[in-house]
Formats: sequence, C-alpha cells, structure tokens
Amino acid sequence: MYRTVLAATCIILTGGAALAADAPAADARAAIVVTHAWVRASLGQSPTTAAYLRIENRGATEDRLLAVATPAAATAHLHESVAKDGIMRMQAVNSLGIKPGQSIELAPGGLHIMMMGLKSPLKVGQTIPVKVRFEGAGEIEVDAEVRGLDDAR
Amino acid sequence: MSRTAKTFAAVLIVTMAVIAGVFLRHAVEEPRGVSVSPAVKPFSLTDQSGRPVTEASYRGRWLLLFFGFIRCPDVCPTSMLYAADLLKALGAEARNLQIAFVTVDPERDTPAVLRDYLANFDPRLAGLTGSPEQISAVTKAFGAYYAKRALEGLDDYTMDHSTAFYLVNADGKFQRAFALNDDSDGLTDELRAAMSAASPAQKE
Repeated sequence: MYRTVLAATCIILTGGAALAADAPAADARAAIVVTHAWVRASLGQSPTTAAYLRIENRGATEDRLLAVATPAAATAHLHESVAKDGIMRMQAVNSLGIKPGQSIELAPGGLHIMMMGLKSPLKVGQTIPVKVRFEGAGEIEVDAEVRGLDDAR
Repeated sequence: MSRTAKTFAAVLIVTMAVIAGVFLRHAVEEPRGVSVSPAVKPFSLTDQSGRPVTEASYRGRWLLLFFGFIRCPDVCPTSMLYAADLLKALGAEARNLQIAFVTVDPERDTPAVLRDYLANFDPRLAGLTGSPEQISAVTKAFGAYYAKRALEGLDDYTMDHSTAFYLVNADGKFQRAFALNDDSDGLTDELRAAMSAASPAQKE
C-alpha cells in the first residue's frame, strides 16, 4: 500500500509532461481505455452516490488503477461490496490491477466509485468529470452521465 | 453476465448460505423445537409518516425487511431498485406484501429523510427508524448485523450492515433470508406461490 502511494506520488510529482515524453508510458497511456462512465442521480437528501465505468487494457502489460477523483464530490474512493462472515461491507480498494486484454466493469452491487459529500445534487441529464489515475497510463478523465434509477440497474 | 456480476452473485449466495445457517440454528434452539419458522420477536419502530410500527402491524400481509442506510452509495439503492421491481412484477398481488427499509443509521435517517429517499423507488415501500435501542432490538430480532465505521481521514462515518432481505409470512412467522438480485423472476414466482399457498387466511 505504502509503495503504491509512493509510486503514485512520484507520478504526480514528475508530472504529465514527463510521462508523455517517455515512449513506454505513451504506449501504456494508449493501452487503457475508460468508457461507459455513469453516476446514479442523487436520492432524496443523501449526499452520497456511486459512479461506475468500464476499464479495458488493450496493451501488452498490466496496469494498475491507483486513484479516482471528481470535482462533484468532496471525496471519491474505489470501493467494493464484499461479504465477510456473512456480512456485506464496503471495502476500500487501494489498487486494482488490469491485466493485458482484461476488461473490468464497475457495476451496481460490486466495484464502485463511492462519492461522498456531493457539492450539489446530481440530476438526470447532467454529466460530471471523473478522473481515473493509473500507474502506467497516468490520469484519464471521462464524462460520467447522471442516470436516473430506471437506467441504474 | 460480467465477471463483476458473477462475483457478486457468488458473494450473495455465500451471504445467503451463512444467514440461512444462522437462522436454522436459531430455529433449532427454539424451545418448542419443532418449529422451523419461529414467530418474529417483538420490535417497535416509527414509519416514514411518523406512525408507530410493531411486529404486529403488518400481520395479514407478508413482510420483506431490508436493513440499510440512506448514505449507502451502492448496495442499498440497488437493493431498493430490485424491491421496487419485485412490487411491479407482483402486480395486484403486491397488496399482500409490505417491503420495509429499516435504517441502521437512525441518527441521520429520520422519518422525513426516509420518505424522501424511498419516494424515488416506489411509494409503497415503508421506511422504518427508531431510537438506537429500538434499531438494535429489531436487528437482533432478525439476526441482522450493523456497525458504525469511521472513515479514514474524514470527519464522517459509514455503516457495515447485512444486505439480506428477511421474509415474514402473514402470520408473523419468519420464513427465510435471501438476497434480491436482478434474476428476480424466479423469486417473484416463488413469493407469489408462497403467498397464495401458505396463507389462505389472507384471501378476502
């Protein structure tokens, strides 16, 4: 965990320019494709919701998702609903590996981006930017469409 | 079905099995020994309109209880979505079933907060809250679990909680715990059959 945070920090500090100048990093960047991003509209007075997306690794090497962020919420974390001793818990996922050729879908009831402290209610039809940071591919920003419950299964 | 969905399905099956095990043991420990569907232990709560509710309030109809909290980002809205789907699929027979969302975060989830939240899914869903002691009692009555968990680095908390649905028949007897998921067609038929076969008394 500490090492991944350290690695992530190094990537941030060295900056996007350094990444872009590096040929293998450019390959890594092209290899990761993030699509199908959406977020559940706010429900009642809840200042919490979840965002979902699909990550494909079209490259030849494994990459790792290290962090997520969105300006729409005070905090965003990758979480997973897991069962432990028969109880469902939300568990933080600090790093998620994506193998070459693998496609990982964040979906209701499993992996999700937990958004806490929404700055304003999210309404159907809006889009919000979601930034996903990878070890190799760097930061990828996608627009997540706000969906109502009828489209949130 | 995606890998995530498969994993989730597997997790739900394990959860159900564990919960079923807990209840089977509970049933065996009942003093009468012969009952596999013990009467639900007494509880006292308040619904989304501020009305008092007890274990006797829904007698004559089946009751499906879920324990969650409205700041739950993923599992609770997904489960309530399936609950609303279930009511729609049951059609007219849905009048024989009450689905209730019981909060495990009574500090934040007042009747008004629950009402606003549940209106997004189906107005027929009940939202139940109470004092911390009342919430503790109702979760114990069903063998459900919850715990407040502080969020690292934030002045905030989330809740761990059981995510099963608990089914009580029209006579107030606990039937079983299970997970609702998007493969709910089988469950709809099962509930329909159970409601018509097991409770002739509720037919008008």
